[in-house]
Amino acid sequence: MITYPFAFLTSVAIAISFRAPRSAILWSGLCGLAAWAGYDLSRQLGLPDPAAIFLGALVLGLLAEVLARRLHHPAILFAIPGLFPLVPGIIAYRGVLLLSQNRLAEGAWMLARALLFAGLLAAGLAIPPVLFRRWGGRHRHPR
Amino acid sequence: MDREQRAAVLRLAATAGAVLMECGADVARVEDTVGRILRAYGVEEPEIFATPTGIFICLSQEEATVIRRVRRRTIALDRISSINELSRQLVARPLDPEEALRRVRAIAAQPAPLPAWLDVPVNGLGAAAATMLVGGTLDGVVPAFFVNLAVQAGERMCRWLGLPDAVSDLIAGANAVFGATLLNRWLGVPVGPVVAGGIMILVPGLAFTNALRDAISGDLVSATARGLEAFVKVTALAIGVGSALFLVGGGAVL
Repeated sequence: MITYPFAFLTSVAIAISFRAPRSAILWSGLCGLAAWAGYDLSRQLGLPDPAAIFLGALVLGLLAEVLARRLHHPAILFAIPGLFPLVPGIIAYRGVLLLSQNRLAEGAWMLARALLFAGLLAAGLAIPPVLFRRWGGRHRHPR
Repeated sequence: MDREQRAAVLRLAATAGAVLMECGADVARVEDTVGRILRAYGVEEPEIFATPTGIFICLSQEEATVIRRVRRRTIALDRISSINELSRQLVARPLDPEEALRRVRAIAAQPAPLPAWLDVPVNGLGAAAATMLVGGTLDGVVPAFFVNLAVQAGERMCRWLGLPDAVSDLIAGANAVFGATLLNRWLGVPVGPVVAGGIMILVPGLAFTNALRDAISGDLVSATARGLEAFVKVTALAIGVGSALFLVGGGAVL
């Protein structure tokens, strides 16, 4: 639980350094919090890591679509900063670092994990826009 | 449509697409927006091919083609939002293409929504917060902030010297280790999570994810390019961290 505010802060900081419009900054933080909460809660329910990552991305994608329609910004404005707490950059970095220390098996495993997580994040984010375009209601505001 | 106006519309669409790409939009969005702008001016069947390094637009019925190179890519969400809004306005009420082009250029030059001096402390704050998400503990938060300041100082110096990005990432990784080791010897903070948090902003997790997003939507050229970009970046960082660890004599820090 103690990590939750830090997920919010991370996304807010990323939103500012990626030049998000002022009206979107705090909402981006909320997206990061939602993504992290989706991931963390699924893990506490006993789901394996990949499933938790996927669910986190799904939650983030849904929230980003809702916010995009409410605040009239493209959804990636919320999705990109919100993604940051889940993004497997550090895993990839650890993988390459292990390779450089000649621990090849562990390094390759880490890199494969990073690739898997990135794929799961992308898949989780790809689903909500499709759902919303299908059943999104009157004012369509694609992505 | 006469020749001159067609050229102006093409220029407008290509510039808008290039600005979007420079600001970190995904390929599907760039192609979508360029197509929307062209159709707003009554251009039928445009063929648009966007990659992270360039945009190709061909009007098959009028035998006109434009190619626009994209040389640098950052992320500027405010500009993506503004271009998106402008393209929707154009659909509702097409402006004179020259006037619209001026607006696109103004968007490409618009200053950040928050003052520039905030950049450094905000990045540091992001690094500090990220430490908790990569398995750190509360005593790593403040050190990660300062380690990130060292990382940013190195990065800015490299940019000022005009060094390529890969070199500056390498130096950033090394700086993180030097800073974290210094704080470790002095205050006993854990090195691993502090280094990881300190370089969190630089690590290309987002680039990896975007590569996979492009792959899922079928833009394979872009997916490959972005994946390679991310791999070069993460390798440079890890080599920097690895060699710095060797220099300071620290063992496996993860």
